[in-house]
Amino acid sequence: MAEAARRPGGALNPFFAPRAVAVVGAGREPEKVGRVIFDNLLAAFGGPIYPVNPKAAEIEGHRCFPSIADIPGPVDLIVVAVPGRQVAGVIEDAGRRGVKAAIVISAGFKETGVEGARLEDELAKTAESYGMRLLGPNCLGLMDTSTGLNVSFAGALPRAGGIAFMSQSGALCTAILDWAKGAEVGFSKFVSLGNKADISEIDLLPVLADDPRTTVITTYLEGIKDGRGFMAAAAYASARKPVIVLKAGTTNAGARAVSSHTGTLAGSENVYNAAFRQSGVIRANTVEDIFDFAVGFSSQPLPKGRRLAIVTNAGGPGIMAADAVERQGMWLADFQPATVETLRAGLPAEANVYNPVDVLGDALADRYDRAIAAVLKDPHVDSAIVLLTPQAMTEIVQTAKELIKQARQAKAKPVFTCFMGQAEVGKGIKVLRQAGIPNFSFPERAVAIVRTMVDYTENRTGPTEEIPRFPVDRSRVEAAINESGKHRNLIDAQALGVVEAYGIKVPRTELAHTAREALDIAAELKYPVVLKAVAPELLHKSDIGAIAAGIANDFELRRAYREILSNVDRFMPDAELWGVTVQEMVRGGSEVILGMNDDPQFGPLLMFGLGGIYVEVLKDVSFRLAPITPAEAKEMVEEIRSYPLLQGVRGGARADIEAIVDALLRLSQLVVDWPQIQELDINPLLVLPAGQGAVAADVRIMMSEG
Amino acid sequence: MKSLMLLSTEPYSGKTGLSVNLVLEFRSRGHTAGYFKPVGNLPTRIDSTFTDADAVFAKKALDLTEPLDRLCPHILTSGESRRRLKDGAEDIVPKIKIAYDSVLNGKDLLILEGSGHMNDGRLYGAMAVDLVGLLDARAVLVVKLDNPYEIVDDVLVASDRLGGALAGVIFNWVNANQREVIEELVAPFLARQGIASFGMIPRDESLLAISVDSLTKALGGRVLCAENHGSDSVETFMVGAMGQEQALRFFRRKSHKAVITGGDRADVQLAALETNTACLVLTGNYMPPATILAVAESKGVPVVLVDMDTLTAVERTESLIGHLRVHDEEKLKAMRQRMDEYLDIDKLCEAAG
Repeated sequence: MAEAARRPGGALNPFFAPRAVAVVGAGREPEKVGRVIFDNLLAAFGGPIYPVNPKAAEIEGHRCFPSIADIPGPVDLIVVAVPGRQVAGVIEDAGRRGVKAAIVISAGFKETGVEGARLEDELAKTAESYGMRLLGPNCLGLMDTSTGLNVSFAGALPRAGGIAFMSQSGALCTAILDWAKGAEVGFSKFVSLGNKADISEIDLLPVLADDPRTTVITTYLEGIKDGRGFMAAAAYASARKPVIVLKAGTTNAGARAVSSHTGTLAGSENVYNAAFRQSGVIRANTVEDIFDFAVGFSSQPLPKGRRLAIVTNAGGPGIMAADAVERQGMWLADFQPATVETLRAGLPAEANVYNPVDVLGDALADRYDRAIAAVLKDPHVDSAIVLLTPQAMTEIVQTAKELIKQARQAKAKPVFTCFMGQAEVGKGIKVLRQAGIPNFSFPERAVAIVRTMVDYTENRTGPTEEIPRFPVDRSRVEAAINESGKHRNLIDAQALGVVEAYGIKVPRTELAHTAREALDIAAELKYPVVLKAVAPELLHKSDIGAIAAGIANDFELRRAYREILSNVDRFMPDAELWGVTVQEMVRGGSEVILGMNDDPQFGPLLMFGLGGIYVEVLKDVSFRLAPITPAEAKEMVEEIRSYPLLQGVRGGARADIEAIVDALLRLSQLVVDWPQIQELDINPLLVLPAGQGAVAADVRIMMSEG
Repeated sequence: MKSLMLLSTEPYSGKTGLSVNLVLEFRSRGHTAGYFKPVGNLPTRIDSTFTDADAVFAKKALDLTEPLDRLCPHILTSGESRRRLKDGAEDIVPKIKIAYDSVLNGKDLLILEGSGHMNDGRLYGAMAVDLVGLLDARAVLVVKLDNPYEIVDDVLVASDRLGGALAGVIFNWVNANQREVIEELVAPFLARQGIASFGMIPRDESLLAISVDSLTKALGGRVLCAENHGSDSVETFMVGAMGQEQALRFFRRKSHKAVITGGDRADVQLAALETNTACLVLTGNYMPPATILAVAESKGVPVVLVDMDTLTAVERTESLIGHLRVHDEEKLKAMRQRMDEYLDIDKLCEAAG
């Protein structure tokens, strides 16, 4: 576990449970930020609150202090809402006074440019020198419903609940609070992160993970500076409770906005998907996702499996729900015979007693009650979705009440509803919501929530594996790296040597400077052979005819040699041609690509795909961050859409998939051992039929500078 | 009294740096040596004098007392070429001879710099390769390596033309992979034809660099941050117009680069700042976001705002970087070092007499 996750959450205690709070910049004008925070604090916080303002004697009957030094009692937390330039001085005063926690609401820092960035840096350093933790600057503050603490200017404290929310966007905080009020959703803690000069999601994830009042953690992020720190903290948290993250700005347009707004790299979609997956984070794509997922997780037990029962009073919605179940990789539960019998006895003859169960349009509350009771009792059912359309006779509120009763009896099985409509069904939905049963307007949405919960359960209960360490020849890699020189590129024999040192098989390869030399080498390697021009600038050899495969004799070799040289001369006259390699030809096998790209925030990102059009045109590739476990390597191979081609189709042989997994694991170890490697492509890795292994035919490595 | 004329088979082959440094070398050996460029090919205006940029540089670097119209008596321009093609020519050789004699007067030795290509000036009856005989000089051919086999033709043609006046060849800008061919095949072959080799100077990209300050000046730009990094060197440039992820991979490929992009492309700017970048050149006069300037400042990368479109900025930058012009004291010194290291100076002195 990374340092961030090991850091004791206790250091952040004063932020959520301070004994006394000072508000620096609280004034007499009621609309000013400092005053709004002071008033918000007054509304629910029980401890002493000290306004600090040299220009006022008292505010709302509270004595005002000219500076922090003048406050008589202990102060655990200060909230700063003075102009940006004065903040460093306030932090200095607080540091001397021994205050260990500060929330800086003030803006005018990194977001305003060079001077602001300097101020922010100074601020962080001052705080650090006093061992003080700092939230913000340029944030909205925080709220904790369990202690009644509202040190923010985001409005009133929301109702208490199990959802923790932290956000890099202040504006999103206020919008969500307003939405939560309308939807009667409760929160445990609410944190606005601001510029993240000190405290970031990495510090807060373990705190929220250990907070008994929080059942689900939700986060809105734009940029993450320390990707590995984030993964460690997220893995720690998601092993304890669901962590839902909305990461914005992963499209080109979004990345531009994030870059300009925060000054941090937006990061690629692929790397975030891999990072989230490997640390158990549930990814939300919309704000609606965040809250639908959060409501699902915080109100219902986790489903044990994918088997879902549907109860409906209308055929159409039932069919749509069945479609959604299959599309989203869930299963429609097969009822036990006893359940079918019970349903048949309790429902009219025209009713459908198989899944989806149709209780018919004229169903009253009692019919729903019997059907729901029967399906929830069935051990083949892991969760249930109850659909209701308002017919003239439908007992909406009564049905809701019966459903709540059954859901409570079922205990371990989650129940979701989809009361479709608004005006008529509204009363029923209100009753359900108060009982903690989430209602979604359409069946597809309800299924999506159950699926997300099942994914989380499976991910969390999956086996944990060791990352294997293979015996390797490090000195050989070191020598090759030292040789790479100014070009920073390792190509052909050098690059093949590097992967071979890590136990990946390569064909025999030798460099020729003349056709004569090439003939001698070919005689030794035995035909057929492959010829390739070697030049650091040459990345796509086949595009310019700088490679010839399947050369069967001396005559063909001479001709190919001449052609390759003239092609390089013609298409890349500036290339620094080192010679032509003669390579043993590997016959048969499927071409796959293994790659690595060093991500500036997350480190080495591994890539896998089938060679040729599958990668280039169809983008059929999988990604994981190194190091990977054997299970992750296997997932990488199985996850691509063209995986069945490797398994053998239409009588073709099954490829040696184990050899791919092995090569991925070795590649993972290589790039972790040698952080100087910035990009590496094994293209292609020729995979022979099962049991015969795989050979890296061409490798290109780019090193970082220095 | 002897003179040695440096000729080349293509422009930007390193003649100016070698010429000026050779004068310094001969001076250091106790000779009175001077510089002369018979025909100028880099027109420029200094005060009201129309002259040649190499001559201006040599005059300054060598503290020459002769006026510029003596150091370089005739300048080729396209306007003049047009007139000549229409109306025929005035003979410029007499005026060159007069200037040459006056510069040579009182010196042990003159280094003559030929214009861009050894055939330049034929139209005026003053082809560089012919001036060698006209001025009773000896010639050194500076060959900038492209293809080691093709240059043999150029050397042989020059030798046919010059005969015994060709003292030998200097191979410049030699790629590591071409060394062997030159050493083992080309030089021995030329030796058999009686053409000496004075050595080969390896390729060195850093000589192509210019400073951030000179780039800023040449583009008429304004530096927005990290002003103290103006002397950092720019060896190459890249243009960014792709998404952030692609930009990051692209920018990694080159170091010490200027990245040219729009002021409104925060994503590209940030990707460039993540890699080894000497400066950002932001076009269109769009101020970048404050957050970007903060990052650039903290990384010590100057951001240069220019009031031109990206295409124009690229064209200007291209004309500045990548063509070796030794009009800079630092580069001259670097060149001298390389000359000492890789050339047989004694042999060259001998050839000059």
